Amino acid sequence: MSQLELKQNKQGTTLNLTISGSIDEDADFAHVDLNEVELMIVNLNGLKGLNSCGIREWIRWTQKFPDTLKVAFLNCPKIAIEQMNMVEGFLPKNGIVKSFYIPYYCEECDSVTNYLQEVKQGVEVDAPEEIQCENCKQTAEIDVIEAKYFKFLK
Amino acid sequence: MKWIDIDEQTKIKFGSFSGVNLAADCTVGRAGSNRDIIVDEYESELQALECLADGKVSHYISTGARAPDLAFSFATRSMDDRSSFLQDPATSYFFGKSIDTVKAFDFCNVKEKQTVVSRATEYAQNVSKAAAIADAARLIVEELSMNALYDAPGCPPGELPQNTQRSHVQLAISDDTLLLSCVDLYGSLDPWCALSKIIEVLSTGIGPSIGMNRKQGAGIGLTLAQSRCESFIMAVEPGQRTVVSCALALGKRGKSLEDQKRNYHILIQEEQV
Repeated sequence: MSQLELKQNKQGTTLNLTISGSIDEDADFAHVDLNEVELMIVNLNGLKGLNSCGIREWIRWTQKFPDTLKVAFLNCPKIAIEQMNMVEGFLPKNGIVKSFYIPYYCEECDSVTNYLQEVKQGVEVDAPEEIQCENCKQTAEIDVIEAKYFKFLK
Repeated sequence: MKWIDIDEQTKIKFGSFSGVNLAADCTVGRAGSNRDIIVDEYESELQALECLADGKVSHYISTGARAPDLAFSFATRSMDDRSSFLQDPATSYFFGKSIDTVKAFDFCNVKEKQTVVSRATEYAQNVSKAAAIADAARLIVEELSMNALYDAPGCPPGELPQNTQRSHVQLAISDDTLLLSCVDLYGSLDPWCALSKIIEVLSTGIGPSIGMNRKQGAGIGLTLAQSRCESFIMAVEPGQRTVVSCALALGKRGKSLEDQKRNYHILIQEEQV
């Protein structure tokens, strides 16, 4: 019933996991094979929805991670970043964000362009204040309160 | 605190106020009776909610909200007539204004709920000036519809509800506002309990508040929903009907949602004798 889709690709001790769809009350992460995995790279590019029960299922899953497991998150959408900032335990203890999306709002055409921000270790994130709107090519302005949105990086 | 008696004249006077000139500490109540409306500066959502809960006040209007006059007008009307909102949330909330669109999606189990969330979200995404609030709209529809299912009487503990009475999600647009409502026919919501739960979650943090061992709701849904909207309404006719609504401003930037000041309304229709 869940619209959640998990794709796994294991290479040695590294597991590449692609998550798409919605994480909700039916989310089941039990079949993600963490056996002998030391690094899990989680790609959240296709994550479309995350509700309160999904947050609970996610935390239940991440609480079972072995202490030795390192987790790197790629392409985190705003809905995931919001929970990392708000919900203690959403970002697992050994988890780091390697890249995430920042929304930019265009007043000209009322659309949102998502800008992918890379995170480099030891380098402070310096997001542009404006980018080109992908829809009308006019100027789109950053549409988050930076002090709040970048909290998870600290 | 300054107390103002409400009578027909005062209602008219306050019904057209702009919000900016109102005394910050002005509290409005019926003469010699319970306090019904608080009009106040908004320091934080927690402060506003505690203010409501402490006095069991029905309406909290923030002077810093986008449209305090709309909220105040709704509050004063609701003092005399709670049933209109319970029967038709959009017409009652947007009283006297033309409503551009009303859409309703009904459901009675989890599978249908998921379809409703998809359809309602798709609809909201295509609404003019809604780009920045699309994620918020989806989350609100998710949480309100889930509560309608999980709070259904007779749902066995530890099991997901299968076939309950039909509930519906309603979307209505007027005056640069999107009103999302979820209507169920149980009337089992206790707004004061729900308010206490939201306050508890905000006080202790969302993570520690999650009911990790519950099969049903996680216990944080209403907190998430109310934190995305500019007006949050819980209405109940015990044993008959529950309506929970969130009003969102259209044409605003996404970041304005994060720091927006909110209005709260609690409507309880006494049981008919």
